[in-house]
This record gives sequence, C-alpha cells and structure tokens, in this order.
Amino acid sequence: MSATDVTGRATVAGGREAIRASRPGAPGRTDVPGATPPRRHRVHASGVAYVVVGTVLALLFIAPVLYILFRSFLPADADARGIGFESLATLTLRNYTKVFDPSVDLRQNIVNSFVVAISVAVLVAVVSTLAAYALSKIRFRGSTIVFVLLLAPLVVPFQGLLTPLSIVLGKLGLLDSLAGVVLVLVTLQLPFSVFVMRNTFDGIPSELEDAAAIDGAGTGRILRSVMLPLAWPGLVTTALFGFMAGWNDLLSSVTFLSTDSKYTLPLALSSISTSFKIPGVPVIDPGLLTAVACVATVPVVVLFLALQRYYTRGLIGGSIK
Amino acid sequence: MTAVTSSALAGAADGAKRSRPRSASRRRQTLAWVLVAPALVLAVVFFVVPMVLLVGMSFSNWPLLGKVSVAGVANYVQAFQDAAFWRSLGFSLLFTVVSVPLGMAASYAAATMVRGEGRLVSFIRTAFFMPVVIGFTAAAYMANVLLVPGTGVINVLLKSIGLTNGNTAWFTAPDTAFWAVIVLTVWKSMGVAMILLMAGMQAVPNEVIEAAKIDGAGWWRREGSVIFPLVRRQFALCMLLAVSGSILVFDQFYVLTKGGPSGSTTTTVMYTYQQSFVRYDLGYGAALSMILTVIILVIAVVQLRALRSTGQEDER
Repeated sequence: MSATDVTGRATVAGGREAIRASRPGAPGRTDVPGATPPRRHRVHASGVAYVVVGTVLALLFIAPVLYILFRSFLPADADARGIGFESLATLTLRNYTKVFDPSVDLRQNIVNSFVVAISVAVLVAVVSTLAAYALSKIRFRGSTIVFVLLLAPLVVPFQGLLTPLSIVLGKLGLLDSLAGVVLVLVTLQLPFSVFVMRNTFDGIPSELEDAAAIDGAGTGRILRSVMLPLAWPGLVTTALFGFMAGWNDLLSSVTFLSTDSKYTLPLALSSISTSFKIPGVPVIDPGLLTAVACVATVPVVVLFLALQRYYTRGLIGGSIK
Repeated sequence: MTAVTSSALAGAADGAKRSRPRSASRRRQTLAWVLVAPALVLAVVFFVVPMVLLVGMSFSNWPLLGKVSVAGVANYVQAFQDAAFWRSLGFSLLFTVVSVPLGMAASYAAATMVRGEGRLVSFIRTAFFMPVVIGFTAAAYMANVLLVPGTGVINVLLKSIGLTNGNTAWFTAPDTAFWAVIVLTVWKSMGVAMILLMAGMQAVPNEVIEAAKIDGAGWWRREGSVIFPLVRRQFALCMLLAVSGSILVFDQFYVLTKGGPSGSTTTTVMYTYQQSFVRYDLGYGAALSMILTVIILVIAVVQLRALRSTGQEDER
C-alpha cells in the first residue's frame, strides 16, 4: 500500500507499475520506473495531491449518506436547533421506533422487499448462468439470435411496456402478486446478467472443461465442479445486482401491485411521505424520513460492501487479461 | 410458450442432424437449448409478447374500460401534432446532452483515479461506486432532506459560504430542479462506467506505457494518445448505455419533481406514462413508446456507425 500511496503518480499512471517497483529486489523501491532522480520531487508532490484530492472527493461522495445516517438518530427539530457536534448529546432511537410503529408499520413492506429482492437474485443468477454457459461454451445454431433476444430489452423503454406487461400478467393470474413483479424484474435483469456471465465463461479456458470431460465428467459435473468455482465472481455479481434491482424497484411495484399488504418498501415510502405529493414543499418530519431512507439503504450497502471483492472482478469479467 | 420452446428444440435438433450426424453433437445442441430455455421463456413471455402487444395497441383505440377499436395511424398522427410530447422529448434530449458528457467525464476521471491498487485506492473506488447501489427512491428521500429550504444542510452550507441566502426551494424552479437532478444522477450512476473504464485501463499492457515513457511522453500525452485510444471500446459501450439510459430518464424526475413545476421537467417517458396511466389512453401511450423506441434505436445505430468509422481511420 505504501508504495502506491506515496508515489501517487504511479497509481494514477497504472498501479501495477508501482507494485512491480515495490517488489523486493526491484531497483529503487519507491521510485516510479523511469522517473529520474531530479523528477522525484515532482512525483512526490503529485502523490500527495492524489492522496488529498482522492480522499476529499471520496468523502464528498459518501458525505450525504453519512449525514443522513447521522440525522436519522436525531430528533425531529434538530435542523432548527442546528446540527453539529453538540447534537451528539441528543442522539435518539425515536425515529427507528417510529418506523416500526403501528401507525407507519413498515415491517410487512420490509419482508416483501426481502422476498422480492432475494427471489430476483436467485432466479436471475440461475437462469442467466445456464443460458450464458450455453452461449459461451456450446456452438449451436441460433445462438446469435438467442443472445440478441436476451439483450434486446436494453434498448426498449421498459416504462413503455408497462401496459402490455400488466395485460400479460393479468392473463397469467400474476397481477397484484409479488411473483409477477419478480418475473418481470428477472427479465429486465437478463441483458446485464447474461452479458456478465457470458464474459465470465468466456474468460474460463475451454481446456479446463475438455480436461474434465476426458476424465469422464458429465456436463452437470463440469458445471458444478469446474465452472462454478471459477465463475463465482460473475455469479455473485449477477445475484447482487439482481438483489439491488428487486430491493430498489419502484416502477414495477407501483404498476403491478395494488394491495397495501403486498407493497414493497420503496412503494410504501413514496406513499407515506406527503412531501412527494406536493413537490418542493418542505419535508414534515426529517427525522422519520431519514430513518426510513436508511432502512431502505442499509441492506444493499452492507451487501455490496461485503461482496465487493467479487463484484469488481465480476463486472470486469473476461475482459481482464 | 411451451410450444415455442419445444418447436425451437425440434428445430435445433433438425439443424444438428443435417449438419452433423454424430449423436454427441446433437446431444450438445439439445443441451444448449435446454440451458437457454428458461431465459428464453422469460424473454418471450415478458418481453416479446408485450412488445407485439405494444405494436398492436399503438394502432388501436385502447381505453382502460370500454371497447377496443382499430385506429390505424391516428395515434401516430396525433403524436406528431402533440406539442407537449415534442417538448418532453426536447427536455429528455437536453437532459441527455448535459448529463452524459458530465457523467462520462466524471466516470473517466474517476477511473484514472481508481485503476491502481492499494488500500486508499480501494477506499476511493468503493466510495465512488457506493451510490450506484442506493435506490432512486431512497436517494430522492435523502436529496429532499438535504435540500430543505432554510434548514437543509446543503442550503446551510451554501449560505455559509455566501453563495445563496439558504432558502432555495430547489424543486420549485425549473433551472434549480434540473441541476439538482443532474448532480444526483451523476453522483448515483457514475460508478458503473467507472468500473468498466477502469477494467479497460488495467488491461493496457505495461510495455506500451513504458514505451511511451521512454519516448518522452508526459502524463497527459500518455493518457490522451496511448491509454484513451486503447479503452475506446469500453468508452463507446459506456457511452451507448449512458445515452439510451438518459433519454429514458424517469425515476429521478418522477420522485423529485413529478414533472413540474408546470410540466417543465416532464421527460418523454414520464409523459408517455401519464398518457397511459393518468389519462388511460393506452393506445396513444403505446404509440408514444413506439416512437421513443425507434428514436433510441436510431441513435444507437448512429453511435455504433460513428464508432466503427473512427476505428477504421485509426487502423489505416
């Protein structure tokens, strides 16, 4: 870490060089390769600039969320009193007890959101893994058409399909059901997921598969024992993004759900906040609103932090060398 | 829908038989179709069928209740004469023209910052990507609290540095609402393109950068003339996604401005949504969706063409 941080110039111009330079035995451990001694001073200055600018920008990016998290533990009138270090004395759980209060009970909505999010995550991971494996590793007639068809929803405004979709769901008896929302969301996630999983499989050498086949492993065995361990980052990525899509979805839920007890969290949020009904009118209870926003944010952020080792690799997929 | 799959299966098997009689190969073909079947069924039921319905609806009078009748091209004629529709399209394009360059510049700059390794780099990368995972509803809630006139922290900060009087009601004036949503959008969606560009940059061979350094190319020169051309493919992909995503902008404006004040921030998708679900003119809404789809396809094709031709120039 020290090498990359101190010589930020190297980080900016390709971190691997810095890593290489910092290897024991490499000449000039903390030097950027090619940087002659007279230039070392400048390199150092830009390293400091990188650390400062990068840290400030990063903090600026997460500041709104941290502020909201902090605000959610303060009483309703905190804004009027001014929010600062002295607010620490007034920390309270009142907003969170209110979120679960019978008058704004969100428990059912939270459960619904988890059901939708987990179902989308699991289904999209399974369905796209199977399809992507075929598209990547088996040459079959019509594979191009299948691939194009699976990616096509990307270019069509989904909002425009809401009416025909509700007709289709009605015919299938899935209107006003979480299952209907899940299936629609899985379909919408397919382009991204199939793309990511195909990239992942493309990055796995066919020789591995061939070797397993010669050793007598069947297709199921190959998928489970050879492919899955290597495709893990892609799989986690599709599941994670599926979870996000399910957890954060507003539009499908708004359109397809009509019973209160089936509302997902975002839908419940938009209905409890009167401030959204009249745009621009000040929020009534910022304490409650921020607590609700945190309840809606924390699960995805925690998941994403816990799984970030995978999703970066998964997104990059086969494109990395 | 099962019929579609099974006939597709039969077709595949036939195809295999004709081209390669070996049964192992045929089994492979069948296996491929079995594996893609679940995805295919979903795509057919929840995408192709609604798409076909949409085309049909766009040529019909389709009220929510009452009789459906054939309308011919009446919906399309109405759309071309509908000033509000064109205004909403203009607004979506304006949003695209402003937000895409800003977003791409932010993603690219961020990618150069986070492509290295180390704990600080990974912290910065995480921070830049985090907003991507937050839903627009929750993000809009946050923005609402941060932007409350008088007491919202952003207004307080702007007042303390003397830029405003701290009482800006961001979502009641078209200009401030527009810029607030632009900032929110760039903040929330910059991370995905950042990761894809970062991957492209990391794949640039070290030898190439070393060679440029030996030739005396400075940092800017290396970035502009060596690295950028090599990540052009990723850049184009991100651009394509960003443009179609921006033209289809909906959530942010729906939650934060509801298209107001007085329709000034109504995007095309929102207008279409209103025609279908507020005025219940489903046929007209369908026609508007069709027009929008065609516009997006045309823009995508133009972008791909432009990309391909610049690629050829470079190779010459």
